[in-house]
Amino acid sequence: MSKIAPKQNLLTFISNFLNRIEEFILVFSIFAMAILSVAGVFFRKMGMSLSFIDELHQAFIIAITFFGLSYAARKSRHIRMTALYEWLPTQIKKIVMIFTALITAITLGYLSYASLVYVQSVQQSQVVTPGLRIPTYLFYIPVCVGLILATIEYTLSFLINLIHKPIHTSSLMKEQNQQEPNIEEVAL
Amino acid sequence: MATLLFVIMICLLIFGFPMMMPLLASTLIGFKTYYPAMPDQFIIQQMIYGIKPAALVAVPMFILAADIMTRGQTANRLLDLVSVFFGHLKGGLPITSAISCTLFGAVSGSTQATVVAIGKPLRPKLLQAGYPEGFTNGLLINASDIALLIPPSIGMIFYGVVSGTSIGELFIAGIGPGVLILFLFSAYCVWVDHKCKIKKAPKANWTQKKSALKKSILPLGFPLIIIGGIYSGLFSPTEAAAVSVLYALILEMIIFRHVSFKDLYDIGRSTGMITAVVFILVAAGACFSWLISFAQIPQDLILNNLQLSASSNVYYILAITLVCFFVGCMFVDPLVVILILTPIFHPIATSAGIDPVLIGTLVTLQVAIGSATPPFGCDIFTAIAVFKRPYLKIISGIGPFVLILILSTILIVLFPQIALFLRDLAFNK
Repeated sequence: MSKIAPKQNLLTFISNFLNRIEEFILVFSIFAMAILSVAGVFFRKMGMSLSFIDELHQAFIIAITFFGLSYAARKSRHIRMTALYEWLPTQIKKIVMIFTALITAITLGYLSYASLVYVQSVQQSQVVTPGLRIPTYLFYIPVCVGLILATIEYTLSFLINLIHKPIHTSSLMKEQNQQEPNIEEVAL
Repeated sequence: MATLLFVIMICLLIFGFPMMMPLLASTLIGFKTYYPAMPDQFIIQQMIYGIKPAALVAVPMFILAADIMTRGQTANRLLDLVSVFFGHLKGGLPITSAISCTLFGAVSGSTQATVVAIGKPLRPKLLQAGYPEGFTNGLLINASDIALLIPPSIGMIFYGVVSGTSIGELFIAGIGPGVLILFLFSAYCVWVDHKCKIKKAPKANWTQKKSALKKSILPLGFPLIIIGGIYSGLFSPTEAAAVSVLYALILEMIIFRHVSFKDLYDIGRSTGMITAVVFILVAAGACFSWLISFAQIPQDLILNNLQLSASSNVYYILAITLVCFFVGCMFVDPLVVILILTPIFHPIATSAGIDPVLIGTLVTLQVAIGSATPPFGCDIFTAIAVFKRPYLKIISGIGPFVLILILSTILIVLFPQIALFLRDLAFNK
């Protein structure tokens, strides 16, 4: 898979903009977790148990999972079983890709709505975290944002596949011969 | 209901949907069809609860440490060490590959990181030495799978979290089977070497050995921290993961100076993405597992279809459990299989009196075998991407290795102490 040619249009501009934001959140969350984890070990060995570290870890894990959901979709890196798909003729592949993006966008769109309702119900319950005393619903906002961003990404991918002739595996990537991946590209 | 969920999952898998979709869509449709009165927020709540357990923090930390090491010098130095000591023996180069994969598995915990870091540089050397391509590919894929058994094993962390088994005990129990497989692979390598009449490599002199040992002393600190720390009770698996990250940063940034501050952004980005790809499956798997438990599908499947109960023969329970995990991983990502099948089989196996750590170890081994077995084992596709070779070339030499792994499973079932001896010793059981 390779990047789309530099020809910019509105859809790829939106996608690139969102890509930058998600990327920053991922990097920040990973290193914040690493710093907190290492600090947690030292504090525990000194006999101090800091419960807020576990709370922050949960918040970062939620942020990484849901912002990463749309980021990985944009980079076309979600795990897929493509063995049968690869055997299909190009025209059928294109139809399958449009269909896949549409169904995924609808499912994630519905879950975005469900997440908004859920976060609202947590907000109304006025629950706070035991250590930091922060309203719990704030930790769950990335769930809504991530699901909405992923819905936008699959909608963009659906539209780009409808408008452009080549097959696009996401709004930023088009399908080509497989290139040599690095560790990042062969996700677990 | 089980049929509907199964049909939706298979259809979405075949069409190449992202793997979270078969789980999410079947949950959503099952939920809407059979429990329309239940609020949708339950799905979101289960997704969040699925990724909340504190033990899961170890996963991104081990991935981060592996990512730092893969970009740095650790893999090369370990490889040099093993090759100066074993390279000149009969079957030296493939044995070196198997040991290096095991050692790198012990520092990185990731099969894919091992294929990239060890498999990629060693493959041309093995081919140049005259080993058949099928054997070479099969060896590198399957030896990298030992990473799933040797601590830190990401598969074991997920199994521990889903089943409630001690991750520390699972880690220690994985060492024995990992070493057994390494020994059996090495014996097979010697036989292939003999059959192909490969020329022996020159023996390294003591200066070379001393130099390689000196260079790899620091990278060898990783297994010491992880295995030694957990074994001695100094660290929990999560703490060991945090210390591994710190150690990897000190080693690669300050001592070897192979990773710069500029690289950290890329490392964070790639770790974040791999974590997200894995954790969204955990979240989706959690709500799917919740739905099938709520609908009592596992009980129905186990009692009526498989005739399994706590009073069934222990070997029958083990056989059914292991075959299901093995076959599942031949088609789907191992993580998805662990998330879905563990809540179904773990309770019945433990209530029949089987040690939960033994089941965890055997299940992780089946996951490793299934991932490297055609038609769709995911390690095969990693190898296709990394080695840039066609599917048939990649799978042609896998058979003997899969047979060795199945033999190892039988040995562990017959002699559970292979897995449990070190665990019993470390945790005074």
